[in-house]
Amino acid sequence: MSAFYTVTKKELQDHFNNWRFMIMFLVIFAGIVYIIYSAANLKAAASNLSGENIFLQLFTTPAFTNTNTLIPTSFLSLMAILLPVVGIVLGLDAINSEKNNGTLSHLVSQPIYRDNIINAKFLAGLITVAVTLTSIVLVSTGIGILKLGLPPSVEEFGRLFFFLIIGIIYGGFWLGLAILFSTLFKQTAVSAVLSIGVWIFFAFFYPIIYTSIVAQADSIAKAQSAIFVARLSPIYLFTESMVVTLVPATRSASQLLTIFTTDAANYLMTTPLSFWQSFISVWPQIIVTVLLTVVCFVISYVKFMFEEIRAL
Amino acid sequence: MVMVETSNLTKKYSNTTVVDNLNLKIDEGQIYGFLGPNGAGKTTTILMLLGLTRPTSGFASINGLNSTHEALKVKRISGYIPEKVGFYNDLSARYNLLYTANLNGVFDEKAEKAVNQALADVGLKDKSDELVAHFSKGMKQRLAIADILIKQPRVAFLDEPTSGIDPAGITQILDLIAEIARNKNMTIVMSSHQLSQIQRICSHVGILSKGKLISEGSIQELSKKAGEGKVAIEVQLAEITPDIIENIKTVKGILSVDQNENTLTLTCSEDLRREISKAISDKGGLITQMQLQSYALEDIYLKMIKGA
Repeated sequence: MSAFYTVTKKELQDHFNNWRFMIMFLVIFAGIVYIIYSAANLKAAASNLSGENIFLQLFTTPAFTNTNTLIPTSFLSLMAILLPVVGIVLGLDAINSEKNNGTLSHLVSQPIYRDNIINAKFLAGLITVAVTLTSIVLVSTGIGILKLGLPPSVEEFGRLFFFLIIGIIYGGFWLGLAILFSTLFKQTAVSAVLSIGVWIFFAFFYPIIYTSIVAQADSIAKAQSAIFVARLSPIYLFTESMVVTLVPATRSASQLLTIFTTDAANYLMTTPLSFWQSFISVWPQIIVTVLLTVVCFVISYVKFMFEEIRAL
Repeated sequence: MVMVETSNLTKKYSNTTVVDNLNLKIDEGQIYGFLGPNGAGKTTTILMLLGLTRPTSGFASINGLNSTHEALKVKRISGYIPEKVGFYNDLSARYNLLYTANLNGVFDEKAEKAVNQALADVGLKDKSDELVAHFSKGMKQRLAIADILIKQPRVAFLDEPTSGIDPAGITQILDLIAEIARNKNMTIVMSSHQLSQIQRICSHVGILSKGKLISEGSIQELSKKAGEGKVAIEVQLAEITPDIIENIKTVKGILSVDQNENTLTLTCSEDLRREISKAISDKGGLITQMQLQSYALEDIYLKMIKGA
């Protein structure tokens, strides 16, 4: 246990002393603060501050209304795009940089179990994702309270907390993917390009594919197959589950695709769902996100455990 | 007591045999030199001994512990310096060593103390807070030795500890290794492809070629075996007269005498230094220097690894 603690501690120190991570953190932080600030200004300027869950709307309404739909302008869509970057930056050279440095053969010749190393790297990355996301959500909430002049209700707080937990798991998936590539490929450049490539594909190209299918759908069956295609994207899965969580009026997850593409108001109910009902309608998405993370981790784990040290 | 042992140790990668039925016994307290050309299987053998690589067949053990099945216990009592020494470049020397101490279950003040002592032992005390990135190859190698010292293992495996280091640095490192083996009562297994380095500090040598142990023993035994019983002696005289040469030739066991200015190179059937010096002083010659030559071993080492 103490060796696991030692490696985790060192990895955490590395992350927080890493200029690459710090720059990314500051950029994301600045972007989020700007978006929340603008959204809060919009809300504060609007006459009807009395709507349901006004506080949560800060996190889902686009801060700018007249922009291209491909550019994320709400807190939620920005997090869906940027949390992967946090995970990837933390994991993209986790294993292979130690191989190239020769530090891995030093590490495995110490009296510690080999899985301690990869477990600790994953845990340290996850903790860093958690710290990043928590600080972003806390600061955003603070800005919201200041600008709107009202605190979140207990339920809103609960929903934000749920968003936080799922956001950490979602970041964990991308961390796991990056660690997987760093275990499979010896060159850090290769693993980095692959992780970032997967991210770019799902963040920017994949939406074009499924929205075009939706645009051509003329029957319910076709629309459903479009939803199925969309759900193959971890980014879509996360967005879907989090929209349901943060917009309580959403009836069920399957209508989200249309929410993104057509007038959202038609698909919202007048009475919002309870927290528990929202959760029930998105739990499959959440389970899949968790499973994807586990699969990435297990493959890296097995590869790392059975690797010949000779190859290091 | 046998510290390191292998029995029919074999490692195959797809269709090449890297280590071939290796049988080794290294006693406690020895400095054992593992000699062989690149690709002879030295590193693979060390990795199998440390439990980092699984043997295809046979077994390796350290202090009676099976390296494959009791890897963790083996790692607790053995230190390892890989050929490509790895440290975290963006961290200080001290931090790197503290990490090793922590990984070995030594924390806080005890760890600090061990780190300071180890850094002082290898002469890096005033560099302890510098980043490893600024270290030269020789300094990194000394840091690796400090790393071993922190662990205080019963046996240390040094894989090519002198590769890529300048001659002065090599001497320094080798002397440091010899000193540690003496003071800390550590068994040391050192691999190298340079005979001169092995000869400098090792008490025992095993010559490895294509995964097979082709010769083994103490340096003296090996020299004898290598020269097929012949010994080369180099004598430097103040002045060489034909008289002296003639007198040396009468000594029983002298096979040949070569003169090069003031130096005589004698090939003999055994170590005849006593008889030779008597033969020289009888004729009034003055010996300025006399030594047993090692070139025969070097020759034979080359012959052995070519022939195998």
